Amino acid sequence: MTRINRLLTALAVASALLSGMTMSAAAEFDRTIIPRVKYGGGGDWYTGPTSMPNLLKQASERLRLPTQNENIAVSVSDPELFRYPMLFLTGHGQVRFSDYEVNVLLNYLDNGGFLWVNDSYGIDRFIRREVRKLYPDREFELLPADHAIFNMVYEFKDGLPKIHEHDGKPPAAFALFDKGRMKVLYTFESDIGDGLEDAGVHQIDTPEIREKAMQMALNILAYVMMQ
Amino acid sequence: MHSILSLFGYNLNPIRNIESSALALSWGWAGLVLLLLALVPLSWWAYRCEGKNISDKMRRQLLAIRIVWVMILAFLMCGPVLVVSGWVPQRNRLAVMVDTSRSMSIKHKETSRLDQVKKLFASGFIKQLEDKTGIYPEVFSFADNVSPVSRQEVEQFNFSADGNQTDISNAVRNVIGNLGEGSMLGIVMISDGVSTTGDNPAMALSNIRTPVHFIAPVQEGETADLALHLTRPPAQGYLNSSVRVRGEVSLHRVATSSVAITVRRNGEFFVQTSADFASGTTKAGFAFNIPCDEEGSFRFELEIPTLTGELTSENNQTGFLLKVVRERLNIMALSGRLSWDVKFIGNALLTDPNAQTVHWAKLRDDRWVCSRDLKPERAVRNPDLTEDLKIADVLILNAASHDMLRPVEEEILRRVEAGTLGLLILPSSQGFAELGYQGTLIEKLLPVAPGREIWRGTPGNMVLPSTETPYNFLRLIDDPIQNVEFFATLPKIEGIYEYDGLKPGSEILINSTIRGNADLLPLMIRSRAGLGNVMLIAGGPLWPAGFRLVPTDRGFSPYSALIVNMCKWLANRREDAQVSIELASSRGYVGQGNSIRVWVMNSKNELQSNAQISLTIKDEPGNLTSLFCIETSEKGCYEATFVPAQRGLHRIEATARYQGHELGTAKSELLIEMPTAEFDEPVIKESLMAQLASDTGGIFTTVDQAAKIVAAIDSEPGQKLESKSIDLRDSWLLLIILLLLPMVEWYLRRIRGLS
Repeated sequence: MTRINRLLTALAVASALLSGMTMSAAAEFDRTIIPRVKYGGGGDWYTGPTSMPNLLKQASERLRLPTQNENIAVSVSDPELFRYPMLFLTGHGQVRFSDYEVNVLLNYLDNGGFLWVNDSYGIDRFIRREVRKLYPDREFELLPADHAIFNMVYEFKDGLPKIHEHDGKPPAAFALFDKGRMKVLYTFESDIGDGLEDAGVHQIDTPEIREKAMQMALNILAYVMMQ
Repeated sequence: MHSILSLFGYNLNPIRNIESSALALSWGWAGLVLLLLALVPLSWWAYRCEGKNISDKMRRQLLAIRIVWVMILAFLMCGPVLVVSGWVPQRNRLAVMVDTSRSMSIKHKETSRLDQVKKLFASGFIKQLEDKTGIYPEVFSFADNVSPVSRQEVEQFNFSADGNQTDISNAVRNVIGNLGEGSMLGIVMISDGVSTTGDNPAMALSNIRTPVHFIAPVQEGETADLALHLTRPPAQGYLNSSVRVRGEVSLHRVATSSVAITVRRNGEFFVQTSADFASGTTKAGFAFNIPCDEEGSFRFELEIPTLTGELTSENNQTGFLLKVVRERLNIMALSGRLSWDVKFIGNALLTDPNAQTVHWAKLRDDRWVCSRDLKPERAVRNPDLTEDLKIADVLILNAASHDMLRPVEEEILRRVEAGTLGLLILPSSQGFAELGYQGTLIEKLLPVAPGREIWRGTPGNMVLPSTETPYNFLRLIDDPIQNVEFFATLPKIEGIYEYDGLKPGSEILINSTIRGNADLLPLMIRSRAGLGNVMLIAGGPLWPAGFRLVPTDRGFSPYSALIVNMCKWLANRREDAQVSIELASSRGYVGQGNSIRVWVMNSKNELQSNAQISLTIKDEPGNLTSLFCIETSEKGCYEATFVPAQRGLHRIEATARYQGHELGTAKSELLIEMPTAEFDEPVIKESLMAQLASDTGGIFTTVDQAAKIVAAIDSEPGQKLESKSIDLRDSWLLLIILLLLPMVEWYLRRIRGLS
């Protein structure tokens, strides 16, 4: 190869790399991140570390949404909370917010933020108590099967799907509405978070079950971004 | 020297006394030396001795004659020019300038400032100046512009204080330009020193060499004054919302802690508010809200009390016209994918109770989801968007591919150009090339040329290009400088698309520092398509600018205000689809031009050229004024300037005709007020006038001591230094000498028997 040919080849490679860099940078514009809430009270807020990265990966592939597929945790008192328009809260036990955290969370939700609470099992009593602190005059409403959230990207004619069996109770989606907007979604006795985790983490979750969990989670994300 | 040069026949006029002179040669001195070196041997050879003996005396005489002749010849061949400088007598001039702006009508103890000037003239001031200098002064009146005043008018004192603004700098420059600075003995300016427009007089007068003497019509006395000003009064309000009116009250020699402001709506009491003064301050702001609970035009008048013997009561009242319109702000968003920006724009819009939103987003394949007023609905397949588009006032495009827009593309273009649909284009992870806009009708609407787009993925701040932005939606903070700082401190955007350039007529509203502080890239760009507005946001995301402010004391409201007001501006509603009137402001001033633009469209909703516009304006007493509209460079736009003669509500009606057919009529209203600029600071500016006089070598005094000015004016005859170039070859005497010298030599040689 002559010297000129080598030079031209190097230039072509460099320009291809540069254009590739430009495109990848553009694709990362306004990336969606859904951090998990690092709460107090002793509950395992860290459970299911692969669930959100998997959801974001699928959101990128199926909804063409720019995402940052990482498992990020943020406490409510962290000033960085307002970098994220949607939060994911999960666990098996005690959840407790300080008075300061209640005020911040209220401010967050009233100005466009959203909280998705996933009941991994045993969180019900605590989360209802904490949400009552946020909106004392509001109650969780049971979402009917024909609610739009079950018919966004995918159709769920029977409402919230059952992903993980605990007490044999039926799954239920509760929502807290304020000023006409859903601010908190509480998926009870379904454990979509488990279904979002990597294959093999929960042996009993078949691929079909896991796909259902993913479809419902994508519906929730789409609903939040449309409201 | 003057005599010698005159003897040689050189014309020195108009120089009387030579101050200095300099000799120059066209060939230079070196040329002269070289010429001599050539001519002297030549002449010696030509007149060489034939061998006859002559006396030494004769030899010296002949040699001297020959050398002198050769030297003169060589000197003249080199093109000698004598440059002489000397003093030239001038005709002296003296200017007297009388301020005839409205501030000169302010009364001090029942006598107006202009009346004081009248008294001064009646006391023989002009005659005294004439006696001192031997010339009659040139008298001018000045306010908005400068006019010469004849001797007869001066004697009759034909001056009236009716100028709406004062430009001292321009007035002085004008007079000096007319009379010539070299011949001026001085300028006597009789003014209160209130310069309301033009350059800073201190800067403008610092370069002139003519002494400017100032006479204040009265001495700054103990007279008190209260003044009321409004800060950008609102012109339009929306039904079921409220507008906030801000203003300021200033005090001069008044000791009070509070001034009551009475507000009247259509002549009836509306509200009373107050301006509360902190200790030691002379200015205090006030504000009040006007709830817009009824449609229509409302005239608001504000008034503060008038003190006994107050300097002027002209600045104690002001007003504005508020038009309340039904807000039917329907915003439609079309998204090719989900977006946090569209969600937060929706959140912001719904803070306005009059706004309605509909957001259509394509999720996957042919599955679309719709959200009305941010309430998501069940997904549908291939929806019909035309019904929502029909009622939309603003369309937001977010990553909407051309395939999605194809069924409504023509409708979008038609409605934007008709001015019934504003277009907001948001950035997305895809550029316009990937969205397939190139070569489509949508591309015509873009304010940028999308041929080349480069993504710059680095964080950057927002920068307003100017502090005095003409767009209200970009004024989130009243103070312009703080407003610019506010935008600069908003959370950074992540990146921006850079384009080849802006299309003609496009305008950058916000820049970004993504490429560097000194190399700004356009972030928010607007353009006009027909009658409609198009806005492109080239970078983002925008939502963190609102959401990340929530935990701060600024909160979400600045973001909401920006989005809501921007969409209102984009909506660009008009009363009439065919003919519409565009006013720069709903408020104007007596004597000042108001630009009225009329936009005309034909029945196909195309902008119409060569239309005939009939524009009539009716004032409150019912007097009609007809104006001729000139077609502007913008297609379908016609313009006229209206200079109102009196205050009050003026009703404007424009009728457009094309080839004899009437295209339509539009109506609008304009509230005319007396200009208050002359009364904003009614106090006599003694210190300014003293400084200006001192800077120019003049003196400052008050009208009762005008004799000092007469004494100070230099009455010496004027003269100026002039230079003149004289060609020394142009002399009859020199010609004679040149001819005579060879003749003398020839004669001497003949009588001695030489050849």
